This record gives sequence, C-alpha cells and structure tokens, in this order.
Amino acid sequence: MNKYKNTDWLLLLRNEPNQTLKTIYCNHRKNCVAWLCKNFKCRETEAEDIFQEAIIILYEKVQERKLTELRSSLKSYLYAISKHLAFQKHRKSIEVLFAPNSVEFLANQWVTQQTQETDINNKEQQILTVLQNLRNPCKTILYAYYFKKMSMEEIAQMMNYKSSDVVKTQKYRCMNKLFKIFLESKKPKD
Amino acid sequence: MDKQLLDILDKYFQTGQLPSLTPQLLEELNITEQEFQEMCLTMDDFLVAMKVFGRQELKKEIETWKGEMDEEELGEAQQITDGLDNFPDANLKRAFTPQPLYQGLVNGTNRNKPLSLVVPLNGFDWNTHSIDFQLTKDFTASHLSFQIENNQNVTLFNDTIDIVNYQFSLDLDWKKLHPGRYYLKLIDGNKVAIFEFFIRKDLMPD
Repeated sequence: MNKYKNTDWLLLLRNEPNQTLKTIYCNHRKNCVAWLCKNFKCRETEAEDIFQEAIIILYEKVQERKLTELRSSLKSYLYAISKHLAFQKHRKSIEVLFAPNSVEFLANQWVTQQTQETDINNKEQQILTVLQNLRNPCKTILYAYYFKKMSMEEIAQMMNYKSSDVVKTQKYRCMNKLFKIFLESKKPKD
Repeated sequence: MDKQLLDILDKYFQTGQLPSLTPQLLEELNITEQEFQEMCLTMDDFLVAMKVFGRQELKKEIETWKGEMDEEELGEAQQITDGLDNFPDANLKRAFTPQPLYQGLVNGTNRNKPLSLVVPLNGFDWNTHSIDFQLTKDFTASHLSFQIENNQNVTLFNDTIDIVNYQFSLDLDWKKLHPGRYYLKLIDGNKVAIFEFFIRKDLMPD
C-alpha cells in the first residue's frame, strides 16, 4: 500500500521522458477517462482521445520549459486540462466539479496556445510531408532528437548504436537528406 | 549542408541564439548571408513541422501503451474469473458480513460533517489500483491519518496522507485482498469517519 505522493514528475519528465510519460499515462488513464465519461457525458473513445491530448500537452509544456512548477498535484493539472478539452469539444456549460480556478485558468491559456501553434503554413506543411515520408533510421533519430529532445547517448542506447558519434553522423546525413528533398521540391519544375 | 552549419542550426534549436555573422564565418560556411538567413528560416519551419510530426508519432506511441494496458487488464480479468472456485460460499458470507461495532457509524449520507467524502460514495467497490477521494470543502487540514480494516476488525494498513485541494488518492493492491467488506477510517485529531467499501462486490451473497 502506498500513499499518493506528488513526486517531482516534471523533473522526471525532463530527464527520462520516455518511461516517465508512459508511467503517468498508465497511472491516470483509467480514472481520468472514467471521470470524463461520468462528469462530462463523454463517450469512452472520446474521453480516451481527450486524455491522450492532455498527456501530449503536458509533455510538450514540460519539454518547452513552459511548465516548470506545479502548484497543485500532477493529477489536478491533467484533470484540469482534460476538463478544458472536454469543454472545448462540447462547447456547452458543464458543471465545474473540482478543479482549482488558478489551474483552470492556466489550462485555458495553454490549450488556446496549443491550438494556435498547430496551425502551419505551406512551407511547414511541405517539410511535414517530407518528414512523414522519411524512412528509418532517419525518422526515429530526428523524432528522438528534435521532438523528444533525447541526447545522442540516449538515442544510441535506444537504437543499439555503438556510440553517440554514430548517431551524430547519422543525424547529419538525415538532415542533409531532408533539406535536400525539401529544397528540391521547392525548385520550379520545367 | 555543411556540418558546421548544422551545428550552428542545432545550437539555435537548443538555445534560440545564432552566432554573429562575420564575413569570416560566411567564408567558412561557404554561403552568402542571404543563403544563411534562408537556412535559418527553413530551420524554423522544420521545427514547427517537427512539432506536428512529433505529436503524430507520440500519439502512435500512446496508442501502443493503451493496447498494452488493455491486454494486461484482459489477462488479469481472466485470472480473477479463473480463481472464483477459491471462494466457497461460506467464506464469502463471512467476509461480507457487516462489522456490528460499526453499524450506524458508517458515514454514508451526511455531507455536512467536516470529515466526510463527496466521492466515492459509501459502499463503493474497490476495483482499481488507485482510488481518488474528495473531501467536503469544510475540511481544512493538510493531512489525515487513515486505517483500512477488514470486517473482523483487523487493521490491514495505516498511514498518513497529504490532502491537496480537498483531494487525496490511495493505492491498494486490491487483487491480493480477499473478496469481502472492508472499512476505511479517516482520522483527523479526535474526529473519526468510517466508510465501508468492498472487494469484488459482485461476489457478495444475497
């Protein structure tokens, strides 16, 4: 039997993002999904999507150093974001059950910001298409380095490379390839 | 792309800062100032695209975790069903009998007491690893003591718990407990509130 402790999850998320995010997801998924279904009349699949989105928002905010301190428990934070996402989804007045106002306010800001940030222009869309069509190991290396912000050593370990130097060289090749494909796609066709 | 240029762009990715552009640096990189600016702008676009791409990939990863969890849960449910023969009716009857000492003390409906739960409702089925509790807003202390007893008055667990925003969570390895009736005692100084809960309430004899 363990009592609930508000460990410094944010630090763990920054230092060991892979395992920590999975732990947080597994610890809170079932209860939060049930809570969303019960209090916000969400269907289960909808609640699963909302919780997944909340997890991603948490992850991104920690990685971007926009969330460096929790004023309430991690659970309250996740529930507040989930609640706001449910609000956004339904766009109707739902009784507020138990999220502290300050957390709710911050969650509103973050979610709004999140929505704005995902609007991308044509050039970014072109690069996204190139990224989506990349093959491994480039896809995994670039995702691990630029999105997960993993170190070269961590990537080497994850991908069973002999050393971080191998990853560095491989990453250089991948970026070259990506920029080349992108710049070629921009050239006017004859 | 030159390796040195990629290092500069990576540093820009990590710190958000670019080095001052000197003719010497441009010569080393073998590009014009305009080309350099264009590469930086492309890097900005790449990072925005990476954010969208990363979200898509992370969603795929989360779907895998979800699948793993569901599979694990299915396996555990199967184990529980397989083990039903281990609980003969007489044992179940005994395990679900209310503790006479607590008759009338179980705090089921009074929401006005300073030490009372809003959720879960009294008599809940403990069927998940962690349960979230919410106290009424009259409760002001930052921590509580608690005890968990079976219906034979045997204390199984006791500890203190921090209260954040009237909430706390308790973890219980419920699958290792015998099906039956249990009691959760919350203690704040000289105030005690008792709540009952069940393990495998579906096995409770009529």
